[in-house]
Amino acid sequence: MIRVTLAIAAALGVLAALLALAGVPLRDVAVSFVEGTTGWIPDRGEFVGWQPVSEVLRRATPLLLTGLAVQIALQAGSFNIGAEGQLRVGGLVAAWACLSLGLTGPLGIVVATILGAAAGLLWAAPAAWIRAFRGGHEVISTIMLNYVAVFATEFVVSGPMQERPGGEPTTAVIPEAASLSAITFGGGFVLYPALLVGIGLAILARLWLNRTPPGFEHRLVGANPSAAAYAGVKTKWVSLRALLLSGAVAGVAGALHLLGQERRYSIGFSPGYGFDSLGVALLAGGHPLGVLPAALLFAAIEQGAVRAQVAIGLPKEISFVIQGLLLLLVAYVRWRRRSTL
Amino acid sequence: MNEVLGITAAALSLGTPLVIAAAGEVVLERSGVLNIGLEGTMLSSAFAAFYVSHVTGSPWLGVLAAIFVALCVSGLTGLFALGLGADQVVVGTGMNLLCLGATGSLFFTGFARGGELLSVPVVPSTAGRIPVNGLMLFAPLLVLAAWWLLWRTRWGLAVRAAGEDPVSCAAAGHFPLRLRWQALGFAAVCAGMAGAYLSVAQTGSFAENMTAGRGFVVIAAVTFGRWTPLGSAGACLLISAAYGVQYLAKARELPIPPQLFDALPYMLALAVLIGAGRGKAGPAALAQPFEAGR
Repeated sequence: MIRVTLAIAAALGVLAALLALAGVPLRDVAVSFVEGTTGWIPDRGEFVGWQPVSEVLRRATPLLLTGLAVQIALQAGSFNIGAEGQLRVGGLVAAWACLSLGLTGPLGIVVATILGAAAGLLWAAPAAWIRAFRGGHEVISTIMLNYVAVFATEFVVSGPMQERPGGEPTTAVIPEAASLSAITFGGGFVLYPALLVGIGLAILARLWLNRTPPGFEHRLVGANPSAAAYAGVKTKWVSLRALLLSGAVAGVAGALHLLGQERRYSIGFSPGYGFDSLGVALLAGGHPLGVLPAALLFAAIEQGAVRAQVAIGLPKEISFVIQGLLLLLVAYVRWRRRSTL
Repeated sequence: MNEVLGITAAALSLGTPLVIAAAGEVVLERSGVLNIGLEGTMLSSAFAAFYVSHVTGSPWLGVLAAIFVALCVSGLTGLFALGLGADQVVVGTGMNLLCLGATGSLFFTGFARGGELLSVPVVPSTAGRIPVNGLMLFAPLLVLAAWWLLWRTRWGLAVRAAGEDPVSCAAAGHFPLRLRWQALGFAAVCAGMAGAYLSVAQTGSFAENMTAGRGFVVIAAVTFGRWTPLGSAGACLLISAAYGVQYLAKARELPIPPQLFDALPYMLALAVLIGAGRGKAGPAALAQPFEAGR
């Protein structure tokens, strides 16, 4: 925990040094990040409302769920870089369930989410199979599956499920009764129910990993596959199950993102949540609940960068620089593997 | 006949950067390093070539700058992944984000404000049905160099040993980490030229995230090509030919969804992974760290 905090501080320090060298006024950057993420204006000592905080929570929701998906695979020693593709098929299948099956109400939301999870699981299945029984690196196969998902969903929304032939490549908007609407509180605070689902799933994952025999086997395979095999754990099946579970959670992320935020599947459904989620999961380290602060941090960085672009013309791409630096330093403090040979 | 020429021209034009980058990546993976950060390395090189070509007016100086930047980026990758023994996949993912952010920020700050597309000088090219530009000529040379280095030199034997079994490699008196650094250097030169090709040979411009996943395609092609220089080059050309066929299908208004051709190379690579698996073809110690003195 201390080392990760130090890594975050070091990443911010490197960035500050780079910005100072480029002649950017650091104080203005800090002020716009604080304004953009908390709604508190330091110069005037004034609170402008809950809108910035709600926006950070909105951005954090898909990151939390996909981050949890990647985290589950990581716990068993697999890198699921395919969360992006699993999220997309999960979202598309949820849209199909609402539009074609006419699902509505709470039961409809549950069924659409389960179908999304199934789609994500199936999309992870080839990578899981290749990893367990063909010895191919899951990083390569999940990257391939991401591309196939992007093009396959693009085909579906520009053909079979297109809203209007010849129009934009998107599905129709799902009905209000089928969507998982955000709850607005007094003072303009908006809560996205999917965020609560994400927190609930993270707690469940934590309990499963730490309190059940399959969860123990899961972590054992992640910590030391040879020792696990020696102890009689069927390591191949465990890593197969890990990637399938991870895909299912990413599918849930896609379904909830569709039902709660996008309400239709278009090409721009995900601006790369699945890729950011890898950073979220790695930053969270070995603890499933760690994805919550990690997702909030990533969302705050992106939100703050958008604010800084509007306020002082700092390119918002700077958020990728921060995230990249963070990953490199966290890789050093936490993801150093001892030679297994 | 026109179609065949058209597909060939498209395959060569689109495939060259893939072939060049794959020549380096195959040597690097043989040494036991999986460079997920190839995408970011190529993107940074593309920007460097674009920028230097714009400032100096010489595309060849741009290519040199691209190689220099690729060496710097790979140096940082190597520092974390080889020097500090951090996980290669994590480091590569971090490098990709860093390069995407750095090139995006620099491009936004320096060029994107005017709103118009900036053209920079490009390397000379022949006219005709199948245009050949100056950088294309390096592709076969680098593929042959990779093949010769890996299979016809003592160094290549040692590199392959470092990727198969670094402990035995060290026991035989070699230095696996040093071999991996050297392979990383060769891969960086290739990645730099591949990135430069995108900006100062193919488009004469730069766009944010202009590599658009080509680095990952190269990693897939190396897998598809069974970790051999010639096989990987063939896989790259097959992938780019699929893009060529797609243009033809569009021109002829064939009732085939373009996304099928877009997805085809990736589905082929997956099919190969499912069908053949790694078997004995892939380096056994790929993406495994090695610590000297252990």
